[in-house]
Amino acid sequence: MIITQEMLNNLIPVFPALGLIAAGCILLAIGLFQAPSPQAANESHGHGWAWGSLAVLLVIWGSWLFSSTQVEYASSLFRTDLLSRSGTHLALLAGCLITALTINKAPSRHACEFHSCLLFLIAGLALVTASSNLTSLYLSLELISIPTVLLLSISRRDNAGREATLKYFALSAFSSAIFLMGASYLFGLAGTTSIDGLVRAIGANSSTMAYIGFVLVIAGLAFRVTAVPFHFYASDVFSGSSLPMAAMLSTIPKIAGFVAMIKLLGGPTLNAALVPVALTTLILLALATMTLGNCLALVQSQCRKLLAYSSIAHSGYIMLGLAALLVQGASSRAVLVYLAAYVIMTIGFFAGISTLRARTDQDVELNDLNGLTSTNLWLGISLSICVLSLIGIPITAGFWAKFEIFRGLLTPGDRLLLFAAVFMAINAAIGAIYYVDILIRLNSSTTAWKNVSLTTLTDKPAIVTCVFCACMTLVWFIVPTWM
Amino acid sequence: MNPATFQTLMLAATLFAIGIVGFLSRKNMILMFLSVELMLAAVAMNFIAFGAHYQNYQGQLFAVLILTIASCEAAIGLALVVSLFKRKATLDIAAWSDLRETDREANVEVPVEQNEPIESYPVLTPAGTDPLVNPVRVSKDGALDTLKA
Amino acid sequence: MLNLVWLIPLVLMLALLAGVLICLFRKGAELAHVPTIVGLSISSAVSLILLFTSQGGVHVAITEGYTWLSLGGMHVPITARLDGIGLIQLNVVTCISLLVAVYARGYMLGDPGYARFFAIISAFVFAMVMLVLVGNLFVLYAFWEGVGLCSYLLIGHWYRRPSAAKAAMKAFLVNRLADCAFLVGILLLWHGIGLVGAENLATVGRLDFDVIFDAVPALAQRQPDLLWWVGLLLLIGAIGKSAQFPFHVWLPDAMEGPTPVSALIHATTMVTAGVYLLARMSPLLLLTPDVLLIAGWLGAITAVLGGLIALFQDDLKRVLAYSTVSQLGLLFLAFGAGVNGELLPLAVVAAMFHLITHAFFKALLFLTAGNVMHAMGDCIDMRKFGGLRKVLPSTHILFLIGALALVGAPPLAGFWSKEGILGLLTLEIGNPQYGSVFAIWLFMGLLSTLLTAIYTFRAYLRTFWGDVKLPAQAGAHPHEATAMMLAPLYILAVGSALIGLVIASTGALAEFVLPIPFLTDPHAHPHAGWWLVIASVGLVMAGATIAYYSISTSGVAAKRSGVPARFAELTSNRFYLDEVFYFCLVAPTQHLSKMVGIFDSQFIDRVIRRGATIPSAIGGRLRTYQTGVLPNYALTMALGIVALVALAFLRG
Repeated sequence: MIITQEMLNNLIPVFPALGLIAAGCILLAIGLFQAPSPQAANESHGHGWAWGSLAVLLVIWGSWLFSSTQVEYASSLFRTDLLSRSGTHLALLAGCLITALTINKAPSRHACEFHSCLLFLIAGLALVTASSNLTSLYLSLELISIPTVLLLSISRRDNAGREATLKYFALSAFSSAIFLMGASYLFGLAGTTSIDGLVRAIGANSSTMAYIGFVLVIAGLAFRVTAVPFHFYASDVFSGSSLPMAAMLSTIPKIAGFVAMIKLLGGPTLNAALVPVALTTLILLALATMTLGNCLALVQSQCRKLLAYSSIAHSGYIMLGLAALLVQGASSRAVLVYLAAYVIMTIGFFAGISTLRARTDQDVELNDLNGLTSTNLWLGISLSICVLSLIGIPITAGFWAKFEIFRGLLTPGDRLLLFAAVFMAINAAIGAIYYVDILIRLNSSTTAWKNVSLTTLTDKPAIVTCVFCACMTLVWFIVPTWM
Repeated sequence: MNPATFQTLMLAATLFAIGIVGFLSRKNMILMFLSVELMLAAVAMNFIAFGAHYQNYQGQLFAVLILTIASCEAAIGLALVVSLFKRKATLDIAAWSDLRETDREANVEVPVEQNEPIESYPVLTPAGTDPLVNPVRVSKDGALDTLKA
Repeated sequence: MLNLVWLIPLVLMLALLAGVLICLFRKGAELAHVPTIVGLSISSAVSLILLFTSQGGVHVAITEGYTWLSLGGMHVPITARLDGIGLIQLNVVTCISLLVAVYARGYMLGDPGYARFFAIISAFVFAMVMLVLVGNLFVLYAFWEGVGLCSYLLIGHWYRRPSAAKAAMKAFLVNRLADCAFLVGILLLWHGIGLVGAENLATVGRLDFDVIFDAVPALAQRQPDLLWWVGLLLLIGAIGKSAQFPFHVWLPDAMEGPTPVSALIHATTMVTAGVYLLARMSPLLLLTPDVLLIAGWLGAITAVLGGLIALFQDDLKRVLAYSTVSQLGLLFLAFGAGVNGELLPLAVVAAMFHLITHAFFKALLFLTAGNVMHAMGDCIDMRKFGGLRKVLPSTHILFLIGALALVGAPPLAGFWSKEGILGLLTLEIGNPQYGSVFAIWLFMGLLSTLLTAIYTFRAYLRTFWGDVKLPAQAGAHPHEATAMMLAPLYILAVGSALIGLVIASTGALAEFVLPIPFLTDPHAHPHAGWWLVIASVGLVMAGATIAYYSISTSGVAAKRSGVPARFAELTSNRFYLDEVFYFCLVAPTQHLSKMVGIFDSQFIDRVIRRGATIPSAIGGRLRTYQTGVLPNYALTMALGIVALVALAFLRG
């Protein structure tokens, strides 16, 4: 078989993913020869692999930045366009942050497997953003969800960890079957699995099958973005997984789900008959999602669960951005900007609270945040900045993210979107209640750490990640055009 | 649409519905996973039917890929079920409802029958280590113990 | 070359960052002045380079820095507009800031808020430089508020002192009042420009100065009333920042801040921002002569009022503060002369001239007052010390130079610039329409010259002559300031002495300043008539004599009686203007806020409190559905899908 230039060109859209998969395979192979020794269970072991995979991520990111990405390449499965370029950046950004956060936290007996799974996951995300075909989209989504199950299982080995793995796995298999059923109907309508052809075919046809297929696909993806009523697993799985994995779960599947939704909804043009359906569906889902997320986050006392529900609420906001995209037919910028800001601030927050515990499976209560600023200035301030960003206060990236969503909602002048914007504003206010509570706790004078030695705060990489994320949110506010 | 395609679609839809109902109503974990497999099989059938209808290979390709992924999921699912069974010695899904929101009692109508978890199971020696003379066992918290003979 | 200008805000921002980091780390506070002074050195070097390379006719140059925001239709670039007035103001700001920062290094030494002080100074100069540079009115407003904030922070530097905290609050609130009008003016102008055909321009781009200047003639034809309101509101903004009657009440209280701050912000840079704004907007004001008339009257009133109040103040810094108020009044008076459109260019030139010289001698006076305060152990009450010429010989000489420049003794700086303004007023005394007004203004200007001479020499004599008298705080051995503190003062003294002569003799200022749209150099430079020069010099001498006799006859603690006593009471109570402010604005506002407060606590708070419980109640109810049983979750998902399909059919 002769390898032609054209074949190589076809690989350009996916070369970050290929690099990551290759690195992951190597790491997996190395892992086979890493003898689990009884004493290794106590030592934190395997930092080297974490640094290695961080280096791989950075190298690939660098080459993606400097490669000739301005040229558009397309094969039957993948292509580069604006969405895939920014989506790949987003994937690599999230990957770097999560890897940096887990440098000291990988399960010591499975460090290689852990990091290779992370690499596969990020590759899957990069592939999702580059997919132009249902087949590749489905495979990429599975490339995310299967390593996620493995990660959940190897990073926490107690009963809670098992239960979280079970719940995530069973429901994810169930929802991916639903997604596939919808996809099969769409394929039946279009006769092709190419997403462009699919969207065109839906545009030309508004039969019952189109509705059912469309709704099933959205429902299958709604599981990944934790939309109501597909959100139930979120808080259970978050509280039953290790902290870095909770950070991963709140970002990676969400990005994948939203990018896939953009591909299916915001392609060329949706059928005018289908727009009201899609719009109503999305707005209803979004409003229910954000309200439920915020109301439930309000009654939590544990950081991980609170973040699980707040991540549900943020999904609701992003879905509104998607709804605006449907009406406006404009760029997917608002959604991507929100996702990027969300990745930075949420991983920053997780990184910050993960330093407070010696083991990643221990719960962090809200009370543990009391007076953190007076004990550890950097950590306290960085966490405060991340929280400010989650509220959406100007001086942080979160402001631009919410601003973009609101702009998308208000620009078309559609009455439904206007109503949604009002609802989102109310929800943002509810969200501010619990975020401000965290802020007050962080900066209160009574500290939970007075008599506790801060020897547990030795996880330098996680602290650095937290500070880095906080700085990034601030810099983003000053330089909002970097995306 | 020719009758054969229509009938296949109907069959697939029925299978899918049976799968959903099975997933929702079964309490045995293995049966739940089998129901998911049933749903995936229905989807594969759908793809094949449409592929035949359009006379192109894309549907069949998709079906093959679905089967592949389904087998991956089955492998993972069964591994998971084994590891869960080791912990609680029951296949009842309701035994795994400790992670929940409220502090009240578990919302399970029939009390779950739980056998005493078995202390340890023999496992294979992991790759990369010299085979041990004594069998390696997994204790309750998952740590590897070398048992003294 | 012009892009070099971006180096200034850049280094200042870095200095600010360094300052913030020093404050955060609480380390290296004793070196906190280094980033500020280095940043200011680079800035002043760059601005001097720009000033001298652009000599020989500056054209308006617009250089785009960086686009802060570009979102669809919204495009907010930060542009710098380099023209004569901008460059002059830029140089005044950076150079005076540098000198004051060097001085403050000595003055603030040992202060617990040392690092904070320098960080805020960097922030202030950054905001001020940007205010001067930017080419868009709206962006200018952002930095206008920025300098206001820094001023607030610096007045309240010693925030544990109740008087400082109060003064900071007062300055902030009075400025807010004026800024409110300013903002309304900006928005009105934005609306007006939209009316005359720039509605397609990007939102903020409508307020680029070029766009404004292009649009105002059409606006003046179609909506003269609107333009009049815009001019008036901009003027209110300007008199708020420049502490003109009736907004002058905040400035004397602002002397609660550290003396370098008084010298930098409340005498030379920030308070001249109002004048700068008028100069910047002069093409617009050209079309609204009524506003200029108001500006002139306010300036004249302020000039006399400030002088009168300064007469009987016992606090040296307050004397200087009222003197600042009065001198700024003269600047506004100069703009008043522009009511006759042909004179507006000359008015701008005269105002800029006095602005420059005033910056030098007023900074000098404040910093020497700072030396006095330093030596007297933070006592600034002239009743408590005297005869300091023996104790502080260098400071004495420096203060004398500053005082002579202030009163306008030839050939020091103040003489030339003040004669420029008064000479401008003489030009049109014969004007049939405004002649009488100009005559009154001239009279008031001369009166303020006399008053200036009296209060300045009174303060000088009371502080430096007579018997040596020291307050208890001064300790046994009051000492002269260190060389580091004196060095900037010498530079300022040289400037105060010579800069007027230099500028007046080269006569280049007009060509430098005037490339402003619609304002052409009329080539008729005001030459102060000999009679005017003789009159003002005579007034200065008369003032000095009066001051001498008032000191020697009445003594410091002598009783005053009759009409002078009542007059003294009136002026030392600042004509009860603070009280007027209180009764007209503060008290009604307080009553209103009390009523609103009742409404707030009784109604709104209750509604909100009740409302805030709703989400948690919903949450409490919802959390019972999180049962932890997996089939329940799957069932809800399935029902959700059914509902979605049903919805699709309903809508589809």
